[in-house]
Amino acid sequence: MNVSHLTQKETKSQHNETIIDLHQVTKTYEGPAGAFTALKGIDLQVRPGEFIAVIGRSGSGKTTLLNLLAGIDRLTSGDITMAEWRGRNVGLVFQFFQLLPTLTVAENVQLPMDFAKNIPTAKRQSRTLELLDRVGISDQADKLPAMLSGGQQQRAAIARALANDPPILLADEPTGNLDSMTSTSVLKLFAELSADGRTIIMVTHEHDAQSFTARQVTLVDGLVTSDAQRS
Amino acid sequence: MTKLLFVKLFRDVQTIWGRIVMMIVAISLSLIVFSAMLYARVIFMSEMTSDYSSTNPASARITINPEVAPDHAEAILTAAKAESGIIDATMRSVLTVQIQGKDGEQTPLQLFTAAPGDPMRIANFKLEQGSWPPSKGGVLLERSALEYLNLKVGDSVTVTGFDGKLAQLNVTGVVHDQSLAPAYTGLQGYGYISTDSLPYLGKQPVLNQLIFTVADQAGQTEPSHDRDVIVRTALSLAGKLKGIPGIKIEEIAVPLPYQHPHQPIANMLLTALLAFGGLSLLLSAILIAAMFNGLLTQQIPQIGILKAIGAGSNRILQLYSIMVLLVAAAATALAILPGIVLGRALAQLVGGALNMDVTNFSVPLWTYAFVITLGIALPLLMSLAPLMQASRRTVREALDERGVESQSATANRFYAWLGRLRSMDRGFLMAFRNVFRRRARFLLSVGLLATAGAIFISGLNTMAGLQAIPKTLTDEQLWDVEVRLRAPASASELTNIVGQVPDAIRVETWNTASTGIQYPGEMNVTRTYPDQGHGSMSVTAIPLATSMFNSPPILDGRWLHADDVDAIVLPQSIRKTLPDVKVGDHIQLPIEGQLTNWLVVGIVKELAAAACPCVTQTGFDQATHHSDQANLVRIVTDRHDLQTRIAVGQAATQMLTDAQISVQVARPIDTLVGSIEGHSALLVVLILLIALAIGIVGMIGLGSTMSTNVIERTREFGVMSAIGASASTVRRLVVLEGVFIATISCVVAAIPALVLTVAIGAGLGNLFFYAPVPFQVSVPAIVIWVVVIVLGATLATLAPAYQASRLTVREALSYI
Repeated sequence: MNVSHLTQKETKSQHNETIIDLHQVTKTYEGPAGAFTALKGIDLQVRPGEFIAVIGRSGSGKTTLLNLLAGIDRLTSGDITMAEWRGRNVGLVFQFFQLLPTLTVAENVQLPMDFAKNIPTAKRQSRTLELLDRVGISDQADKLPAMLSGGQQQRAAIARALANDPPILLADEPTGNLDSMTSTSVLKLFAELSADGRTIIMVTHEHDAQSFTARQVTLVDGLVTSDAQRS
Repeated sequence: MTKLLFVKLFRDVQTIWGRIVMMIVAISLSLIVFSAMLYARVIFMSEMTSDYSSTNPASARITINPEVAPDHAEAILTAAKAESGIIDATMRSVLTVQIQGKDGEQTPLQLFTAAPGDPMRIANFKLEQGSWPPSKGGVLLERSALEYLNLKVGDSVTVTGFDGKLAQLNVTGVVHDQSLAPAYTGLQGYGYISTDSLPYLGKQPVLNQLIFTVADQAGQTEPSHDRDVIVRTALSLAGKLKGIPGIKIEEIAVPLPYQHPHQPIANMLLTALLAFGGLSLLLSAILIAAMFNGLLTQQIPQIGILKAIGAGSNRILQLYSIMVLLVAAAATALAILPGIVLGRALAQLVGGALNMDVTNFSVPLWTYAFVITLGIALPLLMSLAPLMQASRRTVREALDERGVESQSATANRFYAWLGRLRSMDRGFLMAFRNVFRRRARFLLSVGLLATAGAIFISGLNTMAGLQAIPKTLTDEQLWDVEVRLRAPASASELTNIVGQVPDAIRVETWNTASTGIQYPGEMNVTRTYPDQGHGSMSVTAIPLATSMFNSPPILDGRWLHADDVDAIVLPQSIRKTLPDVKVGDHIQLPIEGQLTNWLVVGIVKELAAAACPCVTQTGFDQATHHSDQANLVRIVTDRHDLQTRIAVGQAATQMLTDAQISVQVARPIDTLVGSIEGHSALLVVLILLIALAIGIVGMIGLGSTMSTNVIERTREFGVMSAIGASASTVRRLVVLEGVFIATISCVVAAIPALVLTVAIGAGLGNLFFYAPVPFQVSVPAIVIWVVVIVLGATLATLAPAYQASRLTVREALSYI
């Protein structure tokens, strides 16, 4: 098995080429009840700037796929070629927002910049405010996450994911915890980011979300059963 | 560490400030206890040596016969001062009279006697009131004796003089003699008189002890630390004194130089306390591990988030290590001053209990450095494992954390079986399962409480063991009153006289003699201290058909047989002076000025007021060439209360005095028991206080663990409420879990408590008695601990349980 990484420069230069390449990716979990294979030899190629919805029922392997792409989990066999994950070239958005409760919204957004050190120190604060403005919650910058609505928290999480200007965004059920109106506004935001040239892979089981995406990959029992471009 | 991570750390601490404070308090408390014990030990042992040295104690004492008047001691003093190595010399005496109390009870008063012109350079004291020498008929009392005898300057005491007549001594002043143990431990008073007062007590103004200080080499002025040098000088001088016409040498006493008579007991006391302090530190170490494990468990989802946004394992480790460091630093800072204050107070307390003034409280810098290092390093060390584990979790594991570890198939089958029981309450089952949901936390919580319980119970068991020591005396010695004579008298005459005392139902005559181990080349040299008690040894002749003595437990060899003539049984404490002695060895004992030879046939265990070395009466008579002689009468009384015993003792004394037989002292067995209890009282009290501190630390740990347990399951309680559980059901569940943990910890503590009791008893006992302290199990201690822990668990869980039950379902389900 192999996970190889592209540099940020290489990633951005490959406009028409593959930015993410999965080849026979398999993930098996060992548990008390025995081995369970969540992904069974997935092949998938993603081009820069695509906005992809990975859809499937519970247990189909879509979250496992995302975790492997995000580097949160390790594959059992196969190859993944993509940009180096975690904070630098990949931004993560979770279903339950996963903001740090004791840091303000602005501090949550700025923290990945401190880890990656890509953005110069003097520019981090201004970039934070820009990102919060981009997602429409600049007036919530100094509040703790608990004081925000679900939609606002998810926007803050998106701003955090964009902190280091990653070319790739991975979102796991980003609207799963939101009402329909808020979901739509978040999905529109993703569409805008995709139009800006970012590659976005979004795991979802909502059919409404698919209308915002250019491509849908359907997983059933760990296998890709459909990979359709939306016209 | 980035600035934002510091901000997160600070705010995280703010949100859990209650638990942080508990952690700091628990660590601080243990560190205070430990550091106080350490400082007290360092301060006191140093002061003990210097205070004792300040009295310029005699290196050696030679008891001569006959006694000489001070103005006739010239030849003796000249010989002494001419001896190479002797710095200074003077003549003294140590005598004992009996104070007659209002109710007829007698209390011994040991009188240290010197010539009025004695400059008191050797074996001196601090004059607190009055002057030296006291007036004729006057006595300076040692200050602990003043308190013990409830007297003040200006009072008169009635004593029985050496001629058997009552006499008055006036208390003209107070001294402090730091070379003596406090009066209450020896159950006797100490006084200082000049030879001018002896005629008032029916005795000639004579002295019988030559005391002197010895240097390593001639010309030096500092007394030697080397007992061998002192013994050689004393033997050489004794040889020369024998050349003076009419002078016989009774005894040469060379106690261990620079060692206070109570140094062993002080050592035992302070070592025991330090050991318990160390145990309390161990307890807090486990507490730290448990509390940080709980804290970190709550932080797991946030650790996952941090890793997901780019933080590495090292950064996570750094972040939480700083939290540990801050807690440790705060706890250590809080503990420094109280530790010093408590340590000094403890040193003074021990000093007071041993009749010493502690004035110099300085401790070497290494002790402070050691305590500070321990306070900082121990929490870091103990939290290292949970820190490493938390920082190494993968993002997926951290984000997927649900608060339950996977169970083994066996455990699952067991729970399934439990669940099928018809009478099984689901809430009860759930509470039972929840106890084991996090193995590490369960083990740490149970480990913490079990350790605290083991220490608490073993401490009180040890206390019970110490309190049982007097009973070993009364199990062995089956008499009510003993009357010691100043000189041996006819045994049959003694039996006839004392047998007529009302309420005396059985009378036996015995013999005891002061002696000392005869070392090669050390003729007649003992290790007795000036108070004639510490360091002394007496051989007891056991009557053939005694009913007043049970032979003590045999450690090696056998007890005496009726036909033994040269057999001797030694107490285990003989190993203080003869570490290698064993059954089958031959030893020599000087008895009444004659060298006697004995075969060691047994070694016995005697913890209190050892009767042995023991020989048969036949063997004693043969060795001393006496027969039908006794210097001790033992009486069994009709009733065994103290008043009866005192009355019988007085009556026996009067009848013997009327028969021209001089009595030294008559004492009930209560006196011996009281003396033993006095020696261990302080240790017992201090163990209780430490046990209390340990209990508090245990409770803090339990409270913290239970509150963590509740907080991290807030969502779970929300789900339970959503499916119909009432607030009281939730509370009951939480409280039950706490009670389960407490109960399991009590069971787990059982074996370690017993093992620790044996270990502490052996350690303390061997240090002081050369035999373990009696093994005792304190049932009250067990009951107290179980009740306190279960009650404490209930109370500790009630607050978080109440809080959890008060949240609305919506609030609980939205809790992260």
